[in-house]
Amino acid sequence: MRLRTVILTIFLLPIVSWSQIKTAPEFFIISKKMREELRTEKTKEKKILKLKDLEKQLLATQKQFEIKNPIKGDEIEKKVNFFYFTFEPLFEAKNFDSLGCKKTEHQLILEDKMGKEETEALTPDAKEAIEWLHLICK
Amino acid sequence: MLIFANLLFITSMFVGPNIALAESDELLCVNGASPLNRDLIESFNENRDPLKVAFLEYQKTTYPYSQAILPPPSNCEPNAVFKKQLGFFGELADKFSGIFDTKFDQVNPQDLALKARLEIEKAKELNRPKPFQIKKDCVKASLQRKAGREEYVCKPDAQRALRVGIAAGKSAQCYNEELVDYIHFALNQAIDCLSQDNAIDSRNILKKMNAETGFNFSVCWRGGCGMSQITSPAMKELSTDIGNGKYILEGVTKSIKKSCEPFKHIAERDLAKPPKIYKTCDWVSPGDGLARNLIYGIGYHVHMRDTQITPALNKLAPQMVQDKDVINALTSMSYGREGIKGVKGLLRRNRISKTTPPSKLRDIIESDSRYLSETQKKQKELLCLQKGHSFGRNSQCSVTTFSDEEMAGNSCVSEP
Repeated sequence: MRLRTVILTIFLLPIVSWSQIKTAPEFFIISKKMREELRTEKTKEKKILKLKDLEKQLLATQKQFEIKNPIKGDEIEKKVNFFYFTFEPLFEAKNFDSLGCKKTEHQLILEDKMGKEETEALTPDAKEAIEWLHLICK
Repeated sequence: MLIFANLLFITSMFVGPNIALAESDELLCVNGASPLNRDLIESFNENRDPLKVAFLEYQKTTYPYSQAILPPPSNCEPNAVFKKQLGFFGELADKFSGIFDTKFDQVNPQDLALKARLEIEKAKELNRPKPFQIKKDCVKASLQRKAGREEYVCKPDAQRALRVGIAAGKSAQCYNEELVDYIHFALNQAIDCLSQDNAIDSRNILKKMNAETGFNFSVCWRGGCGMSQITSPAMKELSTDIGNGKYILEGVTKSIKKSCEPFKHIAERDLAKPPKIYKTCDWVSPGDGLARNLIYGIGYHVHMRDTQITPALNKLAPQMVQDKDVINALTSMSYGREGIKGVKGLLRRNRISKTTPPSKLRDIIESDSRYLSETQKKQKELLCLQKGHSFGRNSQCSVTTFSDEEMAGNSCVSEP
């Protein structure tokens, strides 16, 4: 009986873990929640640390997708990738001084608005990334 | 007497085309527009910006696109005193003087340093792989495609751009043979100017301009301004401190290439004071507007290729970095709605790695990118127009097939 449970657990664990791969809408909620928690935070370092935590979670999720679909990713992964790459200029920002913040904001806008009309609004993901930037830079 | 002769020459150079137009009322529009819509041609004839002046000079002399400019010989007095003052550097300069074919005594140290720099630049310029030139026939065929956006005309004395209608149907402005010659000249000058060690693939620029505006430089709308359809984020990227692409304009200002001459004053001006996207004439006028549009449009292409696409590919599949077709396709893709995020996502989602063959990635890009398939569709239209085939549903074009080489733009470029 115990052996059967162990075997079942071994076989079911990957399936359970696949079903738990976070999606883009979930990341959107996680990101918002993280920002809310930092609203009263005063130190820039702690905010950056939290941002790094979000990046780590996204990278880990991308890895999970690669294990699940080794040949080609699906539409769910596509959206997670889109979320990650929207945030990438923010993740890669070296400094958050006045010019650094302006440069990062410009990159976020540039990469989001590429090939789109002047009047077209930013995507919700880009708006979320800019909220993070403002939170760190204020 | 000499001054008078020069004045006469310069005046005839500027007035010539106007007289030709005034004498003949028969205007042949290569884009199928009404000959009555000649506001654009008139503004072109009146224009005296450096790009236009360079074109008039080119028409008279047909100098090669790729040419370095060297400064005139120094008029400085012999300066032997400096040799002693410089000591070791004086001796060093003496050794170099043989290379420069100039005696040290005949130049001052500043001249020597400048000459040394120019000699290095000249050597680099001579060894630089020259980009292929876009053929005039293809520009002409592309202009027959209807851009279908709002069209503006900028007269030299006017404060604002004049909206003259839509670049299609009855209101389309007439493009005559001379205007096609001018676009052909300006385009190849800009490509040569912005080509460094890694030459720009002219086929890619051809396909981009064909897809965006069909080489119509007078269109502007909320999707972009001028021939390259420049938008404010791209403009800021190349001209402001918050962007990462100022080196493109700086390269133009420092270049010794003759092809960069018509663009230098714009690069210098914009680096000192960034332009505004809403000043329509700055992007669509036949002189500085077209010149600015070309250096921003092609410059942005180079910037994206070198700072985004190549590093992203190098990270995942370094074996493909030398594959021009792959780099070109990804750079083009980044222009579409998918943007650079779409390119990076495509590489990751398709598990592109060190073992992926380039042909596989090329197929993936072709099937995944909507922007690229649109570009290919428009390339087919261009080829059909070049052959005189009509296009649209059930047309001669729809049953015509073109080779992969033609679709890649090979038949639209020639060796420099």
